[in-house]
Amino acid sequence: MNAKIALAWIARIMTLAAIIGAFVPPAPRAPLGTPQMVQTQHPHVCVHTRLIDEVETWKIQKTLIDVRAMGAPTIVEFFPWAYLEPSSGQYDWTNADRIVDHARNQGIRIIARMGFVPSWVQSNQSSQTATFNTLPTDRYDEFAAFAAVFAARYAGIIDQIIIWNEPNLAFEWGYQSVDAASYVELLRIVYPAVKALSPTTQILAAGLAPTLEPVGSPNGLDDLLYLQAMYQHGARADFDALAVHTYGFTQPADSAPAADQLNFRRVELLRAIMVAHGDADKQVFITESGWNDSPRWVNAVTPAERITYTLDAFQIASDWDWLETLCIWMFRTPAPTYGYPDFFTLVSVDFQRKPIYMALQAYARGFESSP
Amino acid sequence: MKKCLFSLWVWVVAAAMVPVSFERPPAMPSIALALPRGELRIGIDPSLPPFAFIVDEQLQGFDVDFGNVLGQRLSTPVRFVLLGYDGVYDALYTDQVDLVIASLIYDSSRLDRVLYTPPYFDAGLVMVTLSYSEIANVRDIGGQRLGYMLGSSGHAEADRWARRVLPFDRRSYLSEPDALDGLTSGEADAAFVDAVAARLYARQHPPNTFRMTPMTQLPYVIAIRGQNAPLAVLITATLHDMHSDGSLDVLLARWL
Repeated sequence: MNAKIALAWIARIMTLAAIIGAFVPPAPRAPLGTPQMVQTQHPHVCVHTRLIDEVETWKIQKTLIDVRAMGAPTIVEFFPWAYLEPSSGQYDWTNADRIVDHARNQGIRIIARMGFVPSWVQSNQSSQTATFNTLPTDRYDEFAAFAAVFAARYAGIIDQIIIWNEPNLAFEWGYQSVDAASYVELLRIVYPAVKALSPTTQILAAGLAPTLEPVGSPNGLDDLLYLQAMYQHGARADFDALAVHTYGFTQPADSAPAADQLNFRRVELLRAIMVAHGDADKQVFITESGWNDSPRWVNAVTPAERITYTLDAFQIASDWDWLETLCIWMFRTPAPTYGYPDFFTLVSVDFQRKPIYMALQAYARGFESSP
Repeated sequence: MKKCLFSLWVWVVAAAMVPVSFERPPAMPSIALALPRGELRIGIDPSLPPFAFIVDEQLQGFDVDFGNVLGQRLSTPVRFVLLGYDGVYDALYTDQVDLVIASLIYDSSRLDRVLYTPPYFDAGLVMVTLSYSEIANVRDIGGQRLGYMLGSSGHAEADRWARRVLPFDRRSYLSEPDALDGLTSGEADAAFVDAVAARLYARQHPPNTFRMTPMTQLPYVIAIRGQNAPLAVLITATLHDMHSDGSLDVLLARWL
């Protein structure tokens, strides 16, 4: 009798669960779908994305669909070493693969930024002093080995890799004193390692942070001085092209460049240093640029100025035959920072397109007007 | 005998409950334990007026005054370390600073290395109306004229509310002060701006000219190095005291 009652209850509960389950929406899926192509009239339009931290694949897909719809055929994406090689020689390509697969399907090429040191590399470092940007010099070869494996795996869809990020800032250099010679040494070890496994992959020297920090500053070093120091330490043979970060801050796009000014056309001064050191044939990839429209940040402009200056910047850049891409920092973040960095984005965390997105889309796609 | 045992049991239980019944304040850690260097190193981002900014090479703003008051109350000298936004957490991780006051928001993904205090200010969006307005809450904006800055958080919030309430007339401005000017000039009936912009604007007008209705929350907190729990206890207690005695409000009113 008791067994019969129990079975009856089990049957009732299962029926109820089935009814409730019928009303619960299924988890969003993101099948690749039909391969797409980017329609654009300005192929140098590019955006920096932040997809690697996404948990849900549909958000990666949605981001890349919106990038394509904007008319940008190229993205810059961060591929942290710590995520992809969580223990020595053990790779986990899951996250990188889904980004690459969806980008390829949308017809978008990727420039990969490399960095972010795994904890197993820092095992001998004091937890008091190491950050994810601290790479001991005696572990450069391990980073090079990783970069080479990465480049070989994704050759054809990722043909440019950027070695490190803003090494002229102390915190990007693991809160150590910045050291152009040491960075050049890193390039010198990475370059042949990557070329050995993936000869067509281009090595981009890191985008330097636009800054006026003088020699001896604990915070970093002026990007112009740092690039000159890189050449003095023989960097020329160890990179194929230069990544550049150039922000407009509060100045219009056409403000004249000057060594003591931070503005969009500062890239021309970096280019002049390249030419002076015999690198006129190398291309420049602006991998971070743009204006910020936070109402609070001292280096921001209004949203209307941001739109005007950004479009002007693309117009100016279209005359630079040495420029490969102009990438806007940044398309979207996976989560809000609740600070002024949120005002660099083109779409909100919940995928609302900002007026700057609409303006860039109109420019890239050749639409007659933007909202 | 049973009665006697029962009485004994009652007394034992009562005795055991005494320490529980009278909650004692937690013992405060010593300053020497929390700040072994003998100073309070505060990371600060000087690009965020009116919280922190530099005029004539002088560091100023609410965050600076707030940090100095914390130091005074802890009887500890204060040293400010200037940081860029990108580097504030790395500075904390690597022991360059003891804590950071830089308009930071609680971030659960950093709890393995960071301790946060309760909020000291809410910078979320507010709906500003004239004080005599009949618009009592956001749902009343249907049929009214709403001002906001083009491309701002207020603009995005207006988009969200457009799907929830009766249609309203949108007035887009180039800045938040412009949107608030639109309110005072009668072009708009309400404006969506952040609390900082609203308070800065209200300072320039007679008291009680405006009513501010909170819409979203953006609570600013202090981030403390995760390994320094004693300092987190001290700072949280000091912040609690400042809330209680009204000195935090006085400090905020000085700057916004």
